[in-house]
Amino acid sequence: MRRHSRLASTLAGSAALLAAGAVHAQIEGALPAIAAEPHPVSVRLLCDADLIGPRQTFHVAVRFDVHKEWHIYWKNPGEGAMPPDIELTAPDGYTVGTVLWPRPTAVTTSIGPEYCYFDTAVLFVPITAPATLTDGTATLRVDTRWAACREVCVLGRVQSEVTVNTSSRPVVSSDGPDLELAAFRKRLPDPLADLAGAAISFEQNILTLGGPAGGMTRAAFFPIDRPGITYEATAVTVDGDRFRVVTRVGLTPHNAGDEPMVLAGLVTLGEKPDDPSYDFEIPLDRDLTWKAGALRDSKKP
Amino acid sequence: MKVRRLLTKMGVGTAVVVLAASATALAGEEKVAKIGEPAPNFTLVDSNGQTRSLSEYAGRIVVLEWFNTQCPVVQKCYRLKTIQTAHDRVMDLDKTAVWMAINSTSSTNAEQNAVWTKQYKLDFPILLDVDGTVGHQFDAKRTPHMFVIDQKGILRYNGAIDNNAYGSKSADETTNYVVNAVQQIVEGETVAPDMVKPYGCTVKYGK
Repeated sequence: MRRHSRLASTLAGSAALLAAGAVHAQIEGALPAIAAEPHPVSVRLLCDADLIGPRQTFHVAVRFDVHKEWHIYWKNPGEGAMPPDIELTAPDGYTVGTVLWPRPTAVTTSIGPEYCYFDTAVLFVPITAPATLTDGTATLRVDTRWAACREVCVLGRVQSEVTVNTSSRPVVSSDGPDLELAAFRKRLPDPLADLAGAAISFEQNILTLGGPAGGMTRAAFFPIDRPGITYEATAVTVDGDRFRVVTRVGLTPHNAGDEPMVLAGLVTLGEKPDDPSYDFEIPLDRDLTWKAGALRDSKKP
Repeated sequence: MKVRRLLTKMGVGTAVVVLAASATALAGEEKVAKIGEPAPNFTLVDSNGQTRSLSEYAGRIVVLEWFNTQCPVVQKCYRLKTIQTAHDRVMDLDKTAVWMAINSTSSTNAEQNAVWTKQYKLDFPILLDVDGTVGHQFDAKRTPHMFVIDQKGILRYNGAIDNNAYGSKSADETTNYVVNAVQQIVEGETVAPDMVKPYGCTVKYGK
């Protein structure tokens, strides 16, 4: 499958993206001094396919470039403000998947940890084309909102679109490198279920995760917010070449309502953005137990 | 993992005017409010200079809204009338209910809040908690951060105002947790959810 990185926004579009962000900061900046500054985040869209065929899955990547004194947030901001919101509208027949988030950086604050992105973060949105396509184009519209914070926070919003070429026939793969997005793909977590030697248990409200540390000496656990689930005391260790995460889980089913209760989180190894990280989702049964083996896989592109 | 220490600081260029607000807790008690337990009493002065205590509203549902005029998320909530609409719906559910905003920003003052009240034509008070005592009693972390107290003084809800942090969801997709909680209290039901992680700016307590 041919895969080429592509700066999907036109030059005029990029200027509009930046201008829209700057205008929005002036409207919603917290203090006059902050509001008068250029918006600290610029956003642009990339697409990992310039030609798609029937049933093909491709990705729209939303790239955030964040000014050095500012940060935005991971899907669980911790004690931070709020994560970015990406609303992607595709033509009829296209299936839009769940946003894929790269590993964050934990920042300790006076009220607790914040889970942040600094410098550059690229979020991937998987999209699957319908079974039948015509030769032509398809336009995907993306409405991106975020909170960028320093001592104070400013809100940003950009509405943009990307157009891809469509083929009525399957697109044959080629060896084209995906240069711009390849580096950012490495920052996406792999499923913990796919890690050879990984072990997971959940008994008496204690979640225990373990696996090979791959030579890394540091590990960290990032909880993912789910209704009715809270993570309490957590211990993370690397001993020999194995990492171990032990965390007490608080379960309040009445806060989940009709939604299933799912333990979800991210384990990171090392410190660099493209060091290994593994995510997991553990759906609980009605009796709030988990049967070993029932793990959901994330879909890394 | 590399960890950076980032302490909460006051914003640049902020004019600091400290109002001498009287904030008293029950003598000898400094516990943090918890769901299912009595909410801690407090006494604060509002932006019109009127003293208000939680205890004077015994027998009535009380909604507390942590608030900061300088938070863009609060600004968005008021611009989109999220707060005002929730307030009106709460009053429709129970005409005796009380809604009070509390500003625990260390740099706030009565004038800022009075201007806001006038701008948005609010008919509920904004209380000044400059030293953050009451904010810490409730462990208010965000603006907005909502608390609902029932007629018996029991804390029944703690958390976000709704599930629409950016105002991007349609009305059908939006759940207002405060209105939900008040309705369930009025109908004698269990409040569920009773805790939802709040979104927004951190409360700008003093150092």
